[in-house]
Amino acid sequence: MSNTAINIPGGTIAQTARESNLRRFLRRTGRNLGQFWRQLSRNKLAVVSLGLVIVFALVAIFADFLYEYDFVTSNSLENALLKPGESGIVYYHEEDIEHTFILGSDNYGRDILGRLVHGARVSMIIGFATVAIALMVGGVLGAFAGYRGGLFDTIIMRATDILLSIPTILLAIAIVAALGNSFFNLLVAISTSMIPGYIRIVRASIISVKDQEFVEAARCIGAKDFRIVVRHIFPNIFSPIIVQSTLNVGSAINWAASLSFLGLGILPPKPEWGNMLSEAREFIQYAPHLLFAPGITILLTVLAYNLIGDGLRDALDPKLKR
Amino acid sequence: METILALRDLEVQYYSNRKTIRAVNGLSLDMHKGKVLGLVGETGAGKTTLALSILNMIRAPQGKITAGNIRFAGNDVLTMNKHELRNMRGKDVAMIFQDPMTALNPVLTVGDQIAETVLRHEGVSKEAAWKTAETMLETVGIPADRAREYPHQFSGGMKQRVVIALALACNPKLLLADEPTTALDVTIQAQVLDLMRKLIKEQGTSVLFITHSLGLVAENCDEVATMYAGEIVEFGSVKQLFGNPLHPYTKGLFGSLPDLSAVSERLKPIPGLMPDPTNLPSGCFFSPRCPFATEICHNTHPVDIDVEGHMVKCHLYTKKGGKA
Amino acid sequence: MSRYLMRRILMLVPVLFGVTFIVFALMYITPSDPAQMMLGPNASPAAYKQMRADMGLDKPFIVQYLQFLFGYKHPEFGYKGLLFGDLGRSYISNRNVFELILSSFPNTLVLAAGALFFALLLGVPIGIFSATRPYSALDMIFTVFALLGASMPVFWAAMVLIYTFANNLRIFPAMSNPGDVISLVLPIVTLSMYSMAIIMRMTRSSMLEVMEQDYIRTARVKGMDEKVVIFKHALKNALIPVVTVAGLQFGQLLGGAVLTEKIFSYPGLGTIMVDAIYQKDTPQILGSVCFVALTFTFMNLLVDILYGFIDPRIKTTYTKKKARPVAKRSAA
Repeated sequence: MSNTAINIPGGTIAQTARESNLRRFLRRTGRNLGQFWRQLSRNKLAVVSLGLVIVFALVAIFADFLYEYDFVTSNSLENALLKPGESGIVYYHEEDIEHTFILGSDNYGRDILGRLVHGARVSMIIGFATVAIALMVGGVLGAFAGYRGGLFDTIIMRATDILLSIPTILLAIAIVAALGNSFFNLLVAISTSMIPGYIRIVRASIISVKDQEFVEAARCIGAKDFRIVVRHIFPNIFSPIIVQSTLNVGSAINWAASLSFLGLGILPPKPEWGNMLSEAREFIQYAPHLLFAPGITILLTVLAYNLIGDGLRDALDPKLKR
Repeated sequence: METILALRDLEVQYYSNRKTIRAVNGLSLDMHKGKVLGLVGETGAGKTTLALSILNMIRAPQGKITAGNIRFAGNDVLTMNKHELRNMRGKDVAMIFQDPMTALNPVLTVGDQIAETVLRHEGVSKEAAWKTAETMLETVGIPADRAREYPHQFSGGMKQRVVIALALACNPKLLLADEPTTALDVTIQAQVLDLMRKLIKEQGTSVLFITHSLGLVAENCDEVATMYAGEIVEFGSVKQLFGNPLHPYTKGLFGSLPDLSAVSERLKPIPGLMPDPTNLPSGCFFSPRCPFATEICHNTHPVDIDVEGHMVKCHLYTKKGGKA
Repeated sequence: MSRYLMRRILMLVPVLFGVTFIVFALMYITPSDPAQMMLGPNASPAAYKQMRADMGLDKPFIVQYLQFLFGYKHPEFGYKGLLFGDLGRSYISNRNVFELILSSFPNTLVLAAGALFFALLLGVPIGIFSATRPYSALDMIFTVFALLGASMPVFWAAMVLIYTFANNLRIFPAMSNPGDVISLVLPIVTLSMYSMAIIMRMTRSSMLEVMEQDYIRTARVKGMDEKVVIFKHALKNALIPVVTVAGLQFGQLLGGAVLTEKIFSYPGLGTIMVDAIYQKDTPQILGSVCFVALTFTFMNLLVDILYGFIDPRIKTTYTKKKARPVAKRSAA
């Protein structure tokens, strides 16, 4: 590379070499992304799922423009248990307004679709925040354990074993129970349950990569540990992490709903998919939409993340590349 | 000489990602009873595919035998039903694969793997089948009490002995040995080959000995066929082929052998690579690499030519009195 | 073999201590106040202080943890400790914590074992079927079902089943109890869905991978019937990872039973645990969570042992008979 750089007029050799490195990096990244997208787009289910996730994300972001938060959390008992598509008069902001309940209303006369829309925001935040926390904590611990080995590694791995020997949902339940019901504690509980998984993945990937020849070679030419991790090891552990993270977003949404269903997460009247189902329990016989609307929403969301995860796994697997 | 296996105009294709890989292209070959036929060629020439075709083991949808016919002991292999095929496999025609490390099932004892074959084909009792398995193991130099052990408890050379015992357990008429010693250490290679030679002679088995080593052919075979891009380009007795190689490719193979008598001479590798089987050249498949290629070689596919009882598929010999 | 087992069991000890420590620490930081709960809201500060001392709650954390493990002497609140299978009485029901756990655990076990059995019963054969006809229409349908099963929230699946089969079709009751086999059907089906999906996918992919192996080609070349190839040669290899997954699933089922039990009002350990959490009944929570975690850990050990029976490669590493003389050099 630097051979060609020498011939370029203007600028020192070092400068041009660096520029070309940057350009090469960009070109390579662009090409990889293109190739990656071609692989992924072959999987129709994954593309549809990606579309669904984007729509849900937009809904979550613009939830306030679709339904006001106060509107979906205030009771309107005269409109209780309306069927999907029925209209009612809602007293809101000191005036009576005609409102169509597209997916019906719950036992407090609140708009189901509106609650689902605001619940989407909660679920999305939980999904991404827990994965981000778990990835940071688990990634750093796993990377150190794998790269350095020794006593630190032993301690981390024993701790991981211990956390993994408590069934995941139980660990989350115990943590919320201990810390108390709050949004933040829910995040802590779910991300803690995910951390051992990340530690294992990152550690295993680092160990499998760190003694390979290209890393040895980098070390031989005097690259620093940090640079080795960022330049040589990170690209190699990227795939399993991105796949795991996608799947984890789905699981986190599922767990958050489960915990809230048990009354150990986000409590009504705050809108959350799991607590909507919890509240619906007594009324499903008279108003099955209370059962199906939130349930199918959760199912579709989790399914979409799982399908994207599978699609990513196939697209990122170099063995499947043609 | 009695013909045990006759292949006529055999074509085998594999399909991958909308591409057609032409692995075997109009191949004809005769094997004679009790003889060892060496099949030499580079990696990718279609040697293993040929062996699998003889057992009709090319599996759809990845691959298909698209033309030609295979007659084994007078029976058409390609029209046999599943049941007849399974009766033939392992009993009449046995195969030894290249890598003994992966050829044996890791969760079954070696004795079981041999005995089940005997049980499948010979209609004997379980005890008798097990007894045969033990005898076979002893024949290949493995103590009978190790029959109850699993493959991972054996070394590579021992595993290949087990594979040989397995292949010969039902006294096959034809043995397809696909590079049986490539994966082994040189010293072990010699042992395994000695053993194979001995057993083959005892049982009178015909052998298709697939290899890319001319040295092994000279040592072990009666007849030789050179395979290139899914075709037999030269066929003759070991004496004919080693004494007077005709096809430029065969000559090239000899040229790339180290000649111990001429110390200073360098090896002459054949220039270029095997053609892409998804896009074979027109004319002779070897023409792009052939130092003697003329215009006709690039345009017309050569036919088999008989030069003094020695078959060659090359335009060079059309004018030299060979007859098509 | 026994030495290997001993080593594995010894390795469990730190894990078990770790688990109890984590659970204890979690309960320690819980904002609830057992002394206040025992006395009610109108207790005098002096009585409250006395109660905290009686319950051993005024001691430092580490002392309390040791008490929790090795016992606490007190005429009213004393107990022999976790190591001796005694955590005293529940603050709420005043029943012995471990007796309650031991009486309800078999119920949970029935549910989890039933679910795992059901998951294996359908998951493995369907996985094999799918692997023998990959990308066929039926394979696609099963794949979709597996994906749905793996994505569906357990509690919602339970509610849908109750709505359909209990409320409308009236085939099965909405509430379950261990004595009534019919009433167990819905919770077992609910609980098994996720595991079934996982086991099905695992069997399929593992089977597909094994079918590509050289030894399968060897078996076919030997003229073995396709049935023998699949069920004898391929399945035994393909099941090795499935066993691991099934073992892990069993542990997760014990934990996952919490939601199912709650919805079907089933008197299992999960219900007890959740009720204890609602009521902030610390000894009961500690006892139940530790118990499940310990069971889960032992399950993993059991899976490892089972592994050895399926995979001879592992068995030989720990049966290690007398060292075998190096391969006999008969033909050398």
